[in-house]
Amino acid sequence: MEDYFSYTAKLFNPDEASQKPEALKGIRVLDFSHVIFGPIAARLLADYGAEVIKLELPFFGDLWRPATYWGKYWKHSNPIWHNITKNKYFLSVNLQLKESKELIYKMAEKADVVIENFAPGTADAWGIGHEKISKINPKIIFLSCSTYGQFGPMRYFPGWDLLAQGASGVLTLNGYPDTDIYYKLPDYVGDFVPGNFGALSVLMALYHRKKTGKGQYIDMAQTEGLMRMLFNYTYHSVTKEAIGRTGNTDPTMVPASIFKTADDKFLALACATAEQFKNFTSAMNMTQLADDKRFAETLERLKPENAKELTKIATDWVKTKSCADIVKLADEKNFPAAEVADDYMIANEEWRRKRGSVVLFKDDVYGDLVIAGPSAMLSGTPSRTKWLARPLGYHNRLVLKKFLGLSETEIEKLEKKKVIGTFDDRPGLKPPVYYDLSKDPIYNYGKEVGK
Amino acid sequence: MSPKEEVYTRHGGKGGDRGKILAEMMNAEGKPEVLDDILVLDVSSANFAGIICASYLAEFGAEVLKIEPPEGDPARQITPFGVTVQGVGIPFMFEGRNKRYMTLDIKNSAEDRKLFAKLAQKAAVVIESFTPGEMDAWGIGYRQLSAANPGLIYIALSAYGQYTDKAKESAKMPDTDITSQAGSGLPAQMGGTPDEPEPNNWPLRGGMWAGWYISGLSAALGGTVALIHRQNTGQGQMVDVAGMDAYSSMVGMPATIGFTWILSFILMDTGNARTASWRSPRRAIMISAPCSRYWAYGSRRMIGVILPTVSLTFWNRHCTCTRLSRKKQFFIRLTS
Repeated sequence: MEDYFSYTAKLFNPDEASQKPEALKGIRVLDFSHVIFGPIAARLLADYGAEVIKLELPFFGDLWRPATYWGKYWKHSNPIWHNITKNKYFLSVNLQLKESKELIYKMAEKADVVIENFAPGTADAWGIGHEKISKINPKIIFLSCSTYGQFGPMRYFPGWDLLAQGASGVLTLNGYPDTDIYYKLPDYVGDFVPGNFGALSVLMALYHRKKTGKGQYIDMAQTEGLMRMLFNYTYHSVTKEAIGRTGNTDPTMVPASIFKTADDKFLALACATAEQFKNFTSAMNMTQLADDKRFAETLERLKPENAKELTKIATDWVKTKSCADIVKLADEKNFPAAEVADDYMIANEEWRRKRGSVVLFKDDVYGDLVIAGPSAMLSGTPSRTKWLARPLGYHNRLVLKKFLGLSETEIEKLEKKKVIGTFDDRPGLKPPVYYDLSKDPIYNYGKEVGK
Repeated sequence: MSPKEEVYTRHGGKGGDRGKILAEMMNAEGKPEVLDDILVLDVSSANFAGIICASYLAEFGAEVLKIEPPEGDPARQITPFGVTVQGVGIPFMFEGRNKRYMTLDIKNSAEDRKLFAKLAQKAAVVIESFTPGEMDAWGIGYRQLSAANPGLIYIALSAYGQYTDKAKESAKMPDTDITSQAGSGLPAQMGGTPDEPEPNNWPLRGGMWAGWYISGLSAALGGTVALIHRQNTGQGQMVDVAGMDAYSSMVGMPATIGFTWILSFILMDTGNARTASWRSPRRAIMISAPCSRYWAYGSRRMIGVILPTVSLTFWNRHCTCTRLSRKKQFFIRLTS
């Protein structure tokens, strides 16, 4: 029989991903959302083949377009933004005008999914909420994202990542015991995780619609998405105590912590089961610990006094070894250990590139950019990157002409009335300076361009 | 609409249906379940990412069969401070709901493997977290099961994935939450600033199972995409989730920032003796205590960014980095 890894290498081959079928082909998504929470849900659908049309205001655009770390731009764009809104169609319409609403309603007739993340009730006030859209298209799947949900006493409070982390209790868990310093989870986890939940529920609704023909309204609250990741409430209901902050030590396994190695690197090491612990003791040459009655049984080992003792032994041992040595030992002896990876390592490690979880993408407009691949690899219908984010209003003509079937004169009329618009001179909205849009066949869709 | 409903509709009032729609949504009774025709077999072992993935599918109505060895899944003993409810750990109680339980010794018994293969013929989803290739060697991997059931969705969870040379080399390394967090770049962006005393300036782990929950969520999302493809074409597929890139791939920032900006970070930090372990000072400026001050600054037309900064040192560094003029720096410091 063929070797397992050569079989899986063929099954998952990242080079063939772009030729494989797309699971969500033919699904059309209207994305009214902004910043990260809504857009990431829409992007996940786009990654799997849905046609996502992102709506933005002319000359203003998404709030997150210019909001880059330290105001540092990459080719006049926000590099993080590329990850959040790749694979979408960028349409820019002025919501204040009657004609724009008609345009949206016309698109809603043929759409399958709508995603918005304004403060609850706002989309309805503007006439693009679930109430109106579901009358135009009863089969619509409408995802409303908010921080505290569409109903309940907190519903009108606006919010974002950090507030949701606070409201869900996540903030109280990060940091060291007996201090009053709290740390937030980095990288807007409070947007990305609920955004993934949002995409998951849209997929479920699509599955249901295929079976029954019925659309539905989805209310995704950011705070609840984060709460779903905590068993701390259950712990409290059993013990009447809080788990609290435990610093770098995971209280559910022993030893499980971040340690400093002899070569001043940081290393995470954990033993979840008795077997892994046994392997770890043999790596330490301290097999007697595996027979010690304080440590032999998992539940016994987890008791705070024993855990403390064992963590100290592990800390002292890690101090004497280099990081690479321990990781090598872990591979040989089969216990979990990993160096604390920073941005630089993640962007450059070879195995990630080979796996496709970090991709050097060659874009037509922006050139080469390293972006993250999907966190789940599918062998049959893989997630893929087709293009990066685009300047504001880049796909105006394409969407109106190809998807809505408007004629050239109708588009001109809309342009004249300023129903549709594009970017101004701000970075984040405009194309890179070296890029000549007048020669771009997609920006000028339907016009003759000299390439 | 009743007056009470009117209160619940700030904008949709005046004859609108929003109140009614919301009232309808609050009630789950009598509504159908999406995955009521789906059988899920969860044979994950000592890995909560698998249990969590199965748990999400169960919440949407799937029939989940949790298959454990006779001595029980070791995950039953993964619990904070060893606290259990009659011998079962808290996380297992929490994520174990909505499932059915059976024992099969697929690790040792050929008979039980046959039973499992028979069950897998009826199943839509199999979830496993054994060493990559182990199920295959037992004759019940994706290769064999999919031959008998082409519509099968096979979700495999591991530390380094099911393919690439690295996955083969580190195949036997088990996946846990803290190694998943560390390997995919979360702790590097968390914790105190470099000038704090040890260990406060160390990388810090997320205080919950960020690694396992993100792996589980990614697996459920990938599995559901596969279910939609199966619904359309009848074709199943394999879903591969690696703990070591779950977090970095979900948030996407480590890869892009590592590529675009890291050079300037290194230059910026050459004065710092701890550069080696502080190659990623994103934490130093951006990822700080949320109770520290927040700096907001506006561009010509809108508020651009809200940045937490910790101390004047870091503010100065931030200004050098963003090339704000001194005048503007002063103005911002005055107004904040």
